Amino acid sequence: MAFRSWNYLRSRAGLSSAQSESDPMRAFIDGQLTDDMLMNIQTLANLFDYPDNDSLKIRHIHIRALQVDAAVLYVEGAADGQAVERTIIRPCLENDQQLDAHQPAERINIIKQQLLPSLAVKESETYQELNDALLHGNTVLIIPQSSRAIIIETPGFEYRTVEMPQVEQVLRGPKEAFIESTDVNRSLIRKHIKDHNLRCEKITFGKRKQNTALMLYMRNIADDQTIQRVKKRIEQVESDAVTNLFLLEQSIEERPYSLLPSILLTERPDRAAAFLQEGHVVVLMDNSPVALIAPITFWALFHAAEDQYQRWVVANFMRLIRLFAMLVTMLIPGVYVAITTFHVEMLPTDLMLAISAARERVPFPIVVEIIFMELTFEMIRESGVRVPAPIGTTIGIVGALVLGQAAVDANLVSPILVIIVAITGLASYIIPDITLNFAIRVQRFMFILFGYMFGFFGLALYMSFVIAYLVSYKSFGVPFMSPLAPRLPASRDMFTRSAFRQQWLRPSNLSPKEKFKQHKPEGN
Amino acid sequence: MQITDGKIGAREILSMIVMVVGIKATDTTPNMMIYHAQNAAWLFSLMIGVVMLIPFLVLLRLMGRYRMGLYDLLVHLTGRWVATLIVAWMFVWLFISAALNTRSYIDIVNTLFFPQTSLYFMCLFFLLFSWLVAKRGFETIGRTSWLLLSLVVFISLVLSVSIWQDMNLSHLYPLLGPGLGDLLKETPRHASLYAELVLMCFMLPYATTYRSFRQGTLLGYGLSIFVIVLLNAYYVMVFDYPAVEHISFPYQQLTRAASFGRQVAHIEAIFLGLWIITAVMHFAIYLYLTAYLFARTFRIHEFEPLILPLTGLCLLLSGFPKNVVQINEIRDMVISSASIVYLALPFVLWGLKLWRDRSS
Repeated sequence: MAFRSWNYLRSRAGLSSAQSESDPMRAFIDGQLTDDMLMNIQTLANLFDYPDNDSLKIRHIHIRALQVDAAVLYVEGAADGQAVERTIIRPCLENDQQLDAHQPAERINIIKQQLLPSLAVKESETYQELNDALLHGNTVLIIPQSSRAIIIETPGFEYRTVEMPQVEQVLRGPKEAFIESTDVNRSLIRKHIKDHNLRCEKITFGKRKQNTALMLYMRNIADDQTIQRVKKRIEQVESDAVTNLFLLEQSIEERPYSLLPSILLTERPDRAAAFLQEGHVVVLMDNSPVALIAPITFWALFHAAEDQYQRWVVANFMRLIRLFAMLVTMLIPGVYVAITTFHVEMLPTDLMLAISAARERVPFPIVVEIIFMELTFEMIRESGVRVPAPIGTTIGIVGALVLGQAAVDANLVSPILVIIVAITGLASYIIPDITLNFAIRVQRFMFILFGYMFGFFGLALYMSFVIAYLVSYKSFGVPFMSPLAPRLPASRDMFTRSAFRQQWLRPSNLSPKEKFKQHKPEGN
Repeated sequence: MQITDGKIGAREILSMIVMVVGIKATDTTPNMMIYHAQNAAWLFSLMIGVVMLIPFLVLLRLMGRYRMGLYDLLVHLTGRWVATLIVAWMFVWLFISAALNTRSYIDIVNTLFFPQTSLYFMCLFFLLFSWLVAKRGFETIGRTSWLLLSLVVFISLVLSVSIWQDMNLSHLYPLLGPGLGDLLKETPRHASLYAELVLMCFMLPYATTYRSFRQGTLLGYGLSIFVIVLLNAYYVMVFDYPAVEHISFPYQQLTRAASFGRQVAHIEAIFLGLWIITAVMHFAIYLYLTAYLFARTFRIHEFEPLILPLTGLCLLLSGFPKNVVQINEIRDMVISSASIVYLALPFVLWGLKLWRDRSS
């Protein structure tokens, strides 16, 4: 199927086989298998530049049961060698019951049905499919006089075991995280959603259609238009270099220069499952310890995994703290600049005198001071991520001692500024999503600038723009601030959430096919 | 269900009306009201509201009958040329109001908070951000207004609570201020203070349904009048007449009086910030409407790109008046000269409709 759609795309683009001279292998790959076994093997060998290229392995065997020679091909590193030996070579060599078959088609059937103990076996007659199969770690079995070959699944890519989430940690809730294997990730999601409506589609993309992604959605909930939109976006990706979700995210988002993300990456299977059940689409890819979720709203970035697992009071308290922290991160430095530059009367007199006394010996204007401190803090944070673990402790010393105490003693900054920057930094860690976190941290500098230029007038001007931008922003056609603006029917789960059993309505900004999660609860 | 089809619902219309009419309680409009109606400014604003409501209801009825927006209605009932003339006049009127109001808002901010900052520089930034909001489209303006409506309600409540102690109910008496005769005489002259309500009728095609438009405008208008009446009453109750007449910017003065105990005594800058956010929405709607009217006058189909040049022109125009006194004079003139048109237009249209019905 993949091959046909590839040809279809090529013909749509007006490409003929003759035009693919830039890739000499293209001529081989476009063809069909022939009756000549050696010819078939030779073509695949040419494709992989055998034997100069030490990746394709060709093993000639004799199938005792059928009394024919055959060739087993696999790519070293992609296929699991032990599995090839155990599930293909050994049964072929050791099975000594005599089976009678003279026609190639019969032979293939017997091999598939009686010899090979593998789970997934299929036939193919095109080089394109064999090529793809080999690259995905499968093994190809070629027998004489047949224009069909057998593909046996033996993937042997290495991956780590399932571990705890590194970024989205919770106190209460499941503690499994995605890993770099699609199969494992899919099974982690399946573990949460045991429903036959969970549909899993394979999408191939890239110039050579070598990259695959798995798109998951609930057939009975997700909106068809949204599904098609996401699918089309992925299929339109031209580059072959998109080998993981982090690159795919950037390839399919609508506004690559926007500060706001239109896609969420989560490393938690439970979150992915929850999104699926609200009608979002989840995309998985190899080499990505995350799941891609689209479309998203502001609330997806604002909510943490734990919000639904904690009890109502605790969860809402956490949410309010988070909202407060978000505003603090974004506004406090700007507000400080605005107040000390334009609106000093706002401060209680004692505090104002204390600030001006502390600032007396600092030679710089307040905006220089605060940008200096904020940039330093950003550097500490960035170096904290990059620094090798064994020397990580030095950063704490440098940050706390040198920049806190010494900068004040040296009259570079005033002490109250250290507090401002520390509170801002602390608050910024509360924002759960890393991309939203970045967006807000960058916005902070804009607010500092406008606060310095026009005080509260400037802050308000910029704030109105930020709000209008948030409202007009869309992710795959879904308004970013919905279901708040535009107001749409949904269970209340925005800045605060309602009690879990009261959340019986799916958010209708995603146009779900089934609008209700459960029956409307009666009483309380 | 397609949810972003460029249409807005009753909630959005309601909040836009509040942003475009209700906010007038906080600029220099109350000065005008207090000047004419003395301590009965609150009653005066209520009377204007009622007077303006009648032609608006007629207009709503007409639009409901024909199921078309004001522009199509004008074309349908008066013919293409007369409709263009009316729209052109409305454009000029609204555009001059926009420029004057911009200047007046910036004058307030400049005088009270940033005496050392250049006025034109502030005008530039203010209009720049209004344009940035307006260019995101009518849908966005509506939804943003809806998001900010709770903020408006919240600050109104905070303000009410914080000045509670300074209010004196007896300052409202005598209830009729200069006397009923004066009030009745001045009311129709100032009807165009709320003329934006009529202008919003051009935007009926942007509403999801006629019903939601009617609901939104009527509720929004009610809420706006309530806010204006309330604030006008506050001004008189807190400052007392005639002192209130000599206060140039009553709302800002009121926020100065707002306090919560001894420590939080000067929070006017916060009120300023929240006020400016709503003001940006106010002017975004103004700019969008002017662009719409301009495009209809010259029959330009794509009008959203026009917002930028019109914003630039607005900036230039707002630089002409010399000072706040002159602005208030011009504004009073602009408002009182236009009232008759906005009051009469719906009835003229109604008459035309009757005439048509009879002749057909």
